[in-house]
Amino acid sequence: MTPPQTAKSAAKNLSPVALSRLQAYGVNHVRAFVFSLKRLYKSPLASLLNILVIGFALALPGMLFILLDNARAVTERWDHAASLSLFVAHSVSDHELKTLADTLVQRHDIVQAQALTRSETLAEFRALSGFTQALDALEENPLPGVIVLTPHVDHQGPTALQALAEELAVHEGIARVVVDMLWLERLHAIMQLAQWGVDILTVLLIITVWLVIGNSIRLEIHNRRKEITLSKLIGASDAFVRRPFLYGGLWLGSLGALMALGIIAGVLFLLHIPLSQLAALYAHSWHLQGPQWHDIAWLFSAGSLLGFSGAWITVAHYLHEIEPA
Amino acid sequence: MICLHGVAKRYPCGHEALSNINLTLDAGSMAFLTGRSGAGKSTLLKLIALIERPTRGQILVNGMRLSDVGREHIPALRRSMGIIFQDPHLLADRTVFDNVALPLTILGYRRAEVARRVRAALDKVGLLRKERQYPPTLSSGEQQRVGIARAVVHKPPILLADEPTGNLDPQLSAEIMDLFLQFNRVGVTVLVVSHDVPLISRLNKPIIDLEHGQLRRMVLSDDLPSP
Repeated sequence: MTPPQTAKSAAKNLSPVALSRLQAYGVNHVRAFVFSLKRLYKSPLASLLNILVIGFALALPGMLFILLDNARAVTERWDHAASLSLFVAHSVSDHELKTLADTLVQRHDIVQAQALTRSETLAEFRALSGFTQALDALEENPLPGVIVLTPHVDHQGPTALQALAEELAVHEGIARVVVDMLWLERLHAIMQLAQWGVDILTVLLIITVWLVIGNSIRLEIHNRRKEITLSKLIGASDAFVRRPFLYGGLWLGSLGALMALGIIAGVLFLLHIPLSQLAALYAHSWHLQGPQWHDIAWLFSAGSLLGFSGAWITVAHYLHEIEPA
Repeated sequence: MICLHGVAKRYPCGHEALSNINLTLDAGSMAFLTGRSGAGKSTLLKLIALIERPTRGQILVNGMRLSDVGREHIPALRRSMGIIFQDPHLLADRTVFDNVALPLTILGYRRAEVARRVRAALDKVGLLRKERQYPPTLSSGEQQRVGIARAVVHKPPILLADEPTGNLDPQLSAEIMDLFLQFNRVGVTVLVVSHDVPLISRLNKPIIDLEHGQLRRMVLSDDLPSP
């Protein structure tokens, strides 16, 4: 009797001499790659519908991300309008006021400190309020001196602004700090909410893409049940049977991502003109920012990865069920 | 070489398909397995191809102990044999050529080598001219021969056939059996399940008779009484 040998070594004896295992592996990958593409091509309508569904499911969050990015770019510019008004004590002289402003502007978190003396604030108030006569009736200028601060861009968020205000409020000679932050806080809350909404939607649509790919692979497995059984019967490994389905998922996912990019490009093209007109009304020289290269790369990889993983989960689940009997 | 030691197969429902089978088929030999329907013939082939596992006993195929062959090594075992069924299990949407090429595709052969071997196998079964046709356009005898070409295309050392002439007329059946004899002459171990006793008794090869899951007798065809 010959000594027991392993199944592996028995298979090796069968392999052609000229063909290394690695080469055979490569040949099988290329075949699965081409074969899965041919399968898509063979049922064009079903494939197109699947790719469209995946395309829409990926386009929606992709587009919302881009719009959100644009909105953020606009609101960041609004943040620049954030400023603090420091009302100094009556006891502070005009000279001391200027010195204080000069000191403040030295700080790293402040880019500009505009000092308005008591007489300057009175003049401004007189000009803007229309209470000229009432002010004339007063014996003394009731208005304090003011320093208008423009914080550095990095310190314009609501929390940073609040912290700065609290710090300056206890500064010597400063009576009151006024910061109009409510609208800023609201804006940031809305942006945060929108971000959350997009994130949740993204998760839901990722699940959708998975289900679509999983379902189409499941159908494909069902349709090719006979072929799978036969392949296993004549010695196909699980990896061999799995491979075309995984490539199939990869194709669906990546083509779906390309479709999504097409849809996004189309929608942005349609939105571009009305949005520019809207921006013009606000006297903004603003342009709708399309997807950047890294966005495109991100979407494409996400689609491919979703396709591949969706196929993997489905194949792992169903392939064990199909065994020759 | 195929070797069975005290092999039994009991199904979960309690039916004992095979009980205490001892059988040795030397490398390069050929034998027929016969018996009535339900005698356990197909079960025996399924155990050798690891489509099912025995409840008891030990099976050796080419020196491999099948109880040691884990799930991940079953494909390698199956690649060392060619399996032919009563229904040839051809893929209707692939050409004859592609059907026969399947085992070579699984082994990762290159296109030129695949073509050379597929044509050689088709030539052997006399279907070289039909390589571009689709299985449904072939007669049942031709389909069976495509199945045989697919089973031998990768030159396996073992050939298992389950009722390969089950639905063929006597002349076609004889032709198919002749093919098996030819493969055996070049050193392939062949085990054919058949209940066509008149046909197989003419072929001068051992006949194993199964009855109710037991090996009743092993006869050389010469020992059989003439019909």
